[in-house]
Amino acid sequence: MANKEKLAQMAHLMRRAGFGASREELEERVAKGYEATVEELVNLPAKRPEDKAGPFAMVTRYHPSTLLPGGVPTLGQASWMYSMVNTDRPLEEKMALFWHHVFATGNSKVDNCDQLLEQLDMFRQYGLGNYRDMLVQLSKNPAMIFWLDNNENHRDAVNENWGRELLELFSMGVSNYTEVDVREASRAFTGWTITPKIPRLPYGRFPWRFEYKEEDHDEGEKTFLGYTGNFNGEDIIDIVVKEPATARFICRHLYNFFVADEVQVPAWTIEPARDEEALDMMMTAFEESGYEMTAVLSAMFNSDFFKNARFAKIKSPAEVVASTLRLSGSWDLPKPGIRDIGLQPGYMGQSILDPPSVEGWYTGREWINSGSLLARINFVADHVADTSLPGVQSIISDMKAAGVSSPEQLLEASLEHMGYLEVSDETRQQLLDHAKNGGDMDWGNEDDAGARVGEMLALVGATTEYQFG
Amino acid sequence: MALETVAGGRAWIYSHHVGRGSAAGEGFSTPVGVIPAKDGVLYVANRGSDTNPNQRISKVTVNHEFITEFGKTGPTYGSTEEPHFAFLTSIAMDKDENIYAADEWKNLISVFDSEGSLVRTWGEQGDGEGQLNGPSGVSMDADGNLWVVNSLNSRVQKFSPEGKFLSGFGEKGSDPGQLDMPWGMTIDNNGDIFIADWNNHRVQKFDTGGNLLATFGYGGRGPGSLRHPTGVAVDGEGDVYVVDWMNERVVIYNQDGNPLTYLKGDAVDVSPWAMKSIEANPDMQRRRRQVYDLEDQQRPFRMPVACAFDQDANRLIVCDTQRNRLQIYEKDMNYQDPQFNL
Repeated sequence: MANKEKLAQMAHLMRRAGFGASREELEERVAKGYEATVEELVNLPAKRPEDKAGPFAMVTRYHPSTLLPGGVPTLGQASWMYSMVNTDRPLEEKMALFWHHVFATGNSKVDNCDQLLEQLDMFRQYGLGNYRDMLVQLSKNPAMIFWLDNNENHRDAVNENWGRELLELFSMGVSNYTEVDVREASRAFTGWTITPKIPRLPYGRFPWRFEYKEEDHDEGEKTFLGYTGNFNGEDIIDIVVKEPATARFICRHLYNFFVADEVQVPAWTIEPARDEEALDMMMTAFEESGYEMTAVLSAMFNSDFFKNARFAKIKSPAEVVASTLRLSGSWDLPKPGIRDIGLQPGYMGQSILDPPSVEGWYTGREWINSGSLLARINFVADHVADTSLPGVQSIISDMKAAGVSSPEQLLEASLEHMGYLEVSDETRQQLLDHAKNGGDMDWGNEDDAGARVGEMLALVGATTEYQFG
Repeated sequence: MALETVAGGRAWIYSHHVGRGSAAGEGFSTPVGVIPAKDGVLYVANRGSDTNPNQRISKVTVNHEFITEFGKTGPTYGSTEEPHFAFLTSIAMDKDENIYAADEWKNLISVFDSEGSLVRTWGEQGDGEGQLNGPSGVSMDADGNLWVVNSLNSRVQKFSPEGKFLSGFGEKGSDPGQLDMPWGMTIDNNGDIFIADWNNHRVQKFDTGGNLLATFGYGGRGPGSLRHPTGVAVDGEGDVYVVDWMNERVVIYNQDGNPLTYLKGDAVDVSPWAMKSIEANPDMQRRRRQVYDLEDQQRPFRMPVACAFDQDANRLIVCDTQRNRLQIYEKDMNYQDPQFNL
């Protein structure tokens, strides 16, 4: 068996680069090695092998209404959550969540979950690729065009919404451009629109498609960030990606999402980064590779600052729900009631596919309030204490096989199965005091022993420390 | 407008479609099964949705008449009654027009008469003889016995109409004769059994003893290949129709397993029920006029799940699941191509 430190390190990687992993998976990955696992996670085969059904086929088979949920976001949310839980390409799915945080697009306005699911597919396809290509795809993405009104951006009537957010929230960040730059960027994206779609009645939603309307494009000269020319949208993106501010902005987002909690985005112009040295290293990898996400992700996951950042960030609600369902194995097969798993992150403050605004969500400690904390704890407890669930049964079997006997061993094994969680001395003592109430484990009475394991897992899930990932 | 798909001396001529999206009455909710009865009557299994529990069986005609619906759920309509179906997967019909419906979550077979009254239910979850484990496909044989395929343990079993186990075969795997998460099934005029072997991307034909007779398709996107086939039907001449779910088409093979052609969907028209929705919403109508390739967009199947062949009417009916409609084709076995250089 791999040693505990390596397993803990791998658990950290899989929490961040995915949605957690079972003990069995951790042991398999430790056997492969840390760097090899990073390589496997980051450099995926371009396409999923089609021999067996993946999460999309499974959820669509059992819940066909999740394919084109239209204006019913809960079905789209459920479909995505099912994918997060069951994906065999964890970083691809995690990057989709990352880009959804950064390029936040919401059903509250789009009112068309089909298009948001299509946007997610685009994030999956391009999310681990080149950032410039991603921005081009984003500029042509129908949900984004509608979300930020670029379909209302005309040659003779410029709408600056998309142009502004491209600079402010999707690339450079505020203070790195002028209002004139916003105007000029917006002019360059005139004519980037979507075709009229067949309306929702009577056969359900049909897709919007990107359309470039040359006759609606402003062909005039533009001056943007000091460059002058007859720019079109891709020219603007080419200029934007080369700006040092862009590398810093995207890498700071990556750091905040994957490494450790930062201050909120609006404070980035006044607050230094949590780890400037780490940020420099990530920016170098990003820029020297020509803005390849795989390069910066590989450098980040293999860095000491990442390896030393265990439990340095508070799990987002989507991470809490997906990792708990993955651990408990309660949604391997789609079943009735799937809408609930899509709604759960919303109860904790993160309604996926429906962020509060184009700014996305505030993260870190902003995830926690008295209501959301209770929702997180109850959700985790409901699952890990349910000894009928296959993932929990597997943990119980593992503990039995390992000869877990004393209260100390029960606590230690529970912390390990909950992600090699590190707890304070005070928390440890409280948990241990509870474990001691039951005395040594009596595996002769399997139901009682299982219940004690479930109870201890639930208590671990209720600790302050477990809110960190 | 008639659209013709021609291969091997026969043609499949698009006739029209029936349906629209509707939680009740004149329309369907993700239809996943269809059975033709006499006089153009169709029974349609609606899978429904997790947010709007409208699982039900609709009884309609090919001429757009809504007759009745049954097996409906309660809560949507103000009742506290539990939904009858959880995961309605497929339906079969006996000679008295009783409808047998499989629920793959409840592991239950429900039998309704032609008026929609529940006659009986049976089924017990498990992997043993006569037990159900995710029943996903049902078909009635000429003797009036019901064949059921279990998706989760790959068993194919024959039951009396009352649910008495009579025989069975099948095991999970990907070798010839094995099944992996099978879905739909049908029985041809010779009594042979065709199973849509969903996760193995093929249809397999067995005799009633479980001996493998033929295989149709293989994984892929090219002509004759399949990706997650869901349904299968056989016509009187032995042509085999496979609903190629992930490739969004119906692949047609001859009885030897050679692919003839495929249908991608041809719903260029608007059904009368659908027209009611459009005409009641002037903005919808106006917006439709702005879509320059409306017919091309509206035409194709969107992840269809099932099909059936009405041998009396020589008619293929395809459940165009995501578009909540049934696309109907007529088969012409004596097709004569028009002069080419007209």
